[in-house]
Amino acid sequence: MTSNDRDLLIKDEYLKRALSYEEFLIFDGAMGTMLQRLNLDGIEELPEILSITHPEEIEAIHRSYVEAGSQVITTNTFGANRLKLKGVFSVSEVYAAAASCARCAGARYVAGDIGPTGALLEPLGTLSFDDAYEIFKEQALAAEAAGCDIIAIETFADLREAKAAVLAAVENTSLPVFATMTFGNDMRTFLGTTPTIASSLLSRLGVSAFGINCSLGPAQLTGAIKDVASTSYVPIIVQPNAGLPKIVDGQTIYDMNASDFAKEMLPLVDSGANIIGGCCGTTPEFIAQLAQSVKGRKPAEPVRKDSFIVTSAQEAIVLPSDTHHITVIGERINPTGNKPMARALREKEYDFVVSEALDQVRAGAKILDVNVGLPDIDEAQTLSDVVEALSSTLTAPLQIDSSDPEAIEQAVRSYPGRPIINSVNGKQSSLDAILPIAKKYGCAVLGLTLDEGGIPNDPDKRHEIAKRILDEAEKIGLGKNDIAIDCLVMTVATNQSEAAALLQAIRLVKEHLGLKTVLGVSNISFGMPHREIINAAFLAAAFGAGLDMPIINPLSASYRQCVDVLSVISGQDKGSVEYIEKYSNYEEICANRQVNMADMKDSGASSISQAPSANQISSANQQAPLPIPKSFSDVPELANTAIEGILSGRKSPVGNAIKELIETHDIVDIIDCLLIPSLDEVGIRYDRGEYFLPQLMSSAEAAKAGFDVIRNYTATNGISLSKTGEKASSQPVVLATVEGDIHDIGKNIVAMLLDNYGYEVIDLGRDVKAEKIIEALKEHSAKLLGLSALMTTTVGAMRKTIEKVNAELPDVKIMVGGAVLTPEYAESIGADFYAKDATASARIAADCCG
Amino acid sequence: MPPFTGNVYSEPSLPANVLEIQASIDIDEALSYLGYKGQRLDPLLSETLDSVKAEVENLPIKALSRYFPIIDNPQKDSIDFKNCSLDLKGRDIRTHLKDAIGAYLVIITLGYDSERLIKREFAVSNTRGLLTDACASAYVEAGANALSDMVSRDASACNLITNSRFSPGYGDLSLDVQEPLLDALNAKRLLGISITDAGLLIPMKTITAIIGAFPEPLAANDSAKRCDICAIKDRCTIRKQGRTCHDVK
Repeated sequence: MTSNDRDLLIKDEYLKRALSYEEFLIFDGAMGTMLQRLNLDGIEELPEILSITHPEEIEAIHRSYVEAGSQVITTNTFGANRLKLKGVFSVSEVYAAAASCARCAGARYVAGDIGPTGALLEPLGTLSFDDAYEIFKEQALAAEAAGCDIIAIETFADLREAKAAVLAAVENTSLPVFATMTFGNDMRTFLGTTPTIASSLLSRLGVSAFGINCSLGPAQLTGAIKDVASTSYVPIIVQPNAGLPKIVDGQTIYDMNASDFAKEMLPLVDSGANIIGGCCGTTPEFIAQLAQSVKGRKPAEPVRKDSFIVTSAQEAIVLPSDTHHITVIGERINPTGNKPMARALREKEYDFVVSEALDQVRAGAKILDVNVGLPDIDEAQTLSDVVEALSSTLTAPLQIDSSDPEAIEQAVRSYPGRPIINSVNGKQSSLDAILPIAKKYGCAVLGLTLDEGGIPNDPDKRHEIAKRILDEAEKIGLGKNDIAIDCLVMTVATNQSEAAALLQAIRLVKEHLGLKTVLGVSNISFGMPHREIINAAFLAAAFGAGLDMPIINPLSASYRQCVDVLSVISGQDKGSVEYIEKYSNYEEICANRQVNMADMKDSGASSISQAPSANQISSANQQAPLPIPKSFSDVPELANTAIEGILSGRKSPVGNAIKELIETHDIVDIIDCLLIPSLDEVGIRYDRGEYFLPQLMSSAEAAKAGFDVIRNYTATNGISLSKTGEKASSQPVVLATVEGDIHDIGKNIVAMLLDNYGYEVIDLGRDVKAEKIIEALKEHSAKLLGLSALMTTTVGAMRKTIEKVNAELPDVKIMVGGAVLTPEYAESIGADFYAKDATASARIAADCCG
Repeated sequence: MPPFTGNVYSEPSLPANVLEIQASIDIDEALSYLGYKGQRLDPLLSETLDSVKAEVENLPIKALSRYFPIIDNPQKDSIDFKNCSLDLKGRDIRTHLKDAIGAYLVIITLGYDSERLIKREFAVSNTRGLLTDACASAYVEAGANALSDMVSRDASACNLITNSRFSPGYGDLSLDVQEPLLDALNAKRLLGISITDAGLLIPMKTITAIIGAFPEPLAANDSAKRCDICAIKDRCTIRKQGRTCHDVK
């Protein structure tokens, strides 16, 4: 058992044997069904309070399970957290009463039950990971103080929330922790997690058992339990429902009978589940039959399949140890040598990072490396923010890439999945700092073959370092399924024998250690012309030597082609289906592609097929263009491209035109005579109803592409934008959707438009408290505040926010907008301006800030 | 899709399990949310719209529906249901359920994948984000229409007639009823629906509604009256286009 290294308090020898796959452990069945049966449901607002108000009845239910053969009784504390109890009773009171009911009923083991908080975690909801952790910690401590023998974390649908609960229990108590999640018909939780993903992460977090509860009936869970068995590092627990629910005479009922339930449980037992019980609809009769059916049997130890597994909350990349497949790790989320990325990270424009990530995924990356290492930023915070931005928008698992152990720990702690840590190396200091983090948070880790002596040339020495990394990892309970080795490629430009040595090192690591290997391939060609030729050929050679996971830029066509071919020859692309589909019309596609790349990027279309035809593009813009400004009369075509690009909402032509113009023309002229008048024209057309919202938006984005070029240029050349005379430059405007309202599209449109007009937009997001708004107004000395509310129910919050801002900062002007507002209503709640739409807000800002 | 049980018991009864709903996006509907009034659609925008529509239509639509008899109690100022802690207060829902013997409570959602998709598309570009959001709204609306049709068929098998959907937050029906409505459908557990302190549902592309069931054919079309009670009737972009949100056909 590798479950954990804390001092576990296991009540007795039998429990110890059960946790070593040697005995069955019988849990109880449903509490809710029994409360319903005894007409106890609905008496208290929360059923958990019944342990205090009706202890005899709760004890009686527990006793009926004990008499039926339940060895473990689960306390009636599923929702006994501070959010739900709301201070009516304390968490510890409820756990104490509940544990006492279970003990008095004669339970051999009492499991302190912890269910989900009932609130949604960030970024979907508003509860932070740390706050969830604190809530669960209070419950776990209460359960331990109440004398529970086990902590049962159950019925979780959000992997991140389950992780918070498990960490809270294992970090703060000495009790064995059992964790279960609940899955739907499609074998995913509501948030998309599969049993394989949940098991790959949670079974490594120091729990003593992992499995499935609730969900469906036992028959529907056969496959899921097999998936858990092949990935879990701890004994398996399963507590299904009594089949599927039906409504009869207005009541939800489960119509499976106890003996069918027990019969259908046996395949799960055969797959390796040895901790068994029931959930919704099961009663003492079910438990009695179940206990009877395993009497005299020996548990079957689950057969784990050796695999290197990396997961997000929704996707598992599984590389079985006996298979050699190519799995691309995308390298582009890295500011080194990538100025737009560096700028985006500095300015917290994480949308850019998401966009870059999506491009890589669409180009075939299965895992994304995330590196935010810049000398002048808070790396730990930025890494966590980027990881959160990526995991809330994309499903590809992440590789957390940093040289700062603290930044790594902060990022992986709340990551909803099993990431790879990039990296550890053979130096003792690195091994000591990184491996325990990987162990504690269930991460995979990438080991670099370098140590105190640098990177050895000798392949045997690199193999030795890899072995040392594995040995050290095994000492703390990690294993071959947790480590991948990067043998570190150096350029052939300076040392030609390097390539052969590296390939040999890969072979040694694969053959002797049986580890998966990783390689940052493109270093091989550093300093050489036409690097892509070398890169692709070397990738093929490295794959031949045993490389599994190349870290590459998947947007490079030659890499992509090479990967596609390797997928065919390794048998990974079954029947060459993907290859044939992609390359049957390749010449045609290439020809189309060159013509249309720019506009495809604009439309966000991803695949290399389906490009629009050339005549579609030329007919795109039929409205009368603007006259060419005087200062651009020497380059009418370029100026026209920029203007028309903005009017027709095409980013790339605008960006490219401004790139050329900026070399020959005054920046102030470009902004004041080209970009701003074009934007104004868009606003006019919108006001006249010639454009509708998406057109306004795509024009604003096209203009932004132009402004971005200017910002990159001024940043690179050390020009201060304010000195360029940009009109509204550095005028701060604070924007927020008011407290209680989670709609932010309208506000986002306003933010983008104001940003284009050169304002410093401080966008506080949605559901923002008045206090936070006042703080931001003060911090940025902003004189204009924009508030948005979409709901009739939240304009009240808008009124209160305005009152508070006016009281503290009477000089601040406030503009408001949102579907339910009218100019009259805006005035009545004390707003200075009513913005009927985004262009109106730009005019108000101009009047206000000058 | 599970088969309909029809009038197996004394009253209508759709299955207690999650229903999977098939629907497709009405592009005109999606565009109308964005203020579209016949502007010429640039081919690039049309193409973006097509690709966004395809992405949104990949999302599964899940739903729950359950019939609850109304407890007839003229003395009380709220409408109560059998087997359900929900009680509905307000003039407008009372009008909507006048003469009804029961009501279907329904919920339709695009699930958490829709949250991720919309967020992702806004990250890629605000234009795509806007179009995705509008398509998702039209899609969940189409799902609600499909579910309404299913409910109507289920009711007619019991010789009942249904009226239109009425959602919390509409007219004077408070958003406070969202929570008991979710509980009545067990929607937190079966669909993972979450609710904010202000009564907003997450995933945001989720609709809850109350559909009345009547033993007699309904009198006149209640369309005009429905708009009268709406908070945004004077600024409603759908009305300006000569349509209403509750009478889509």
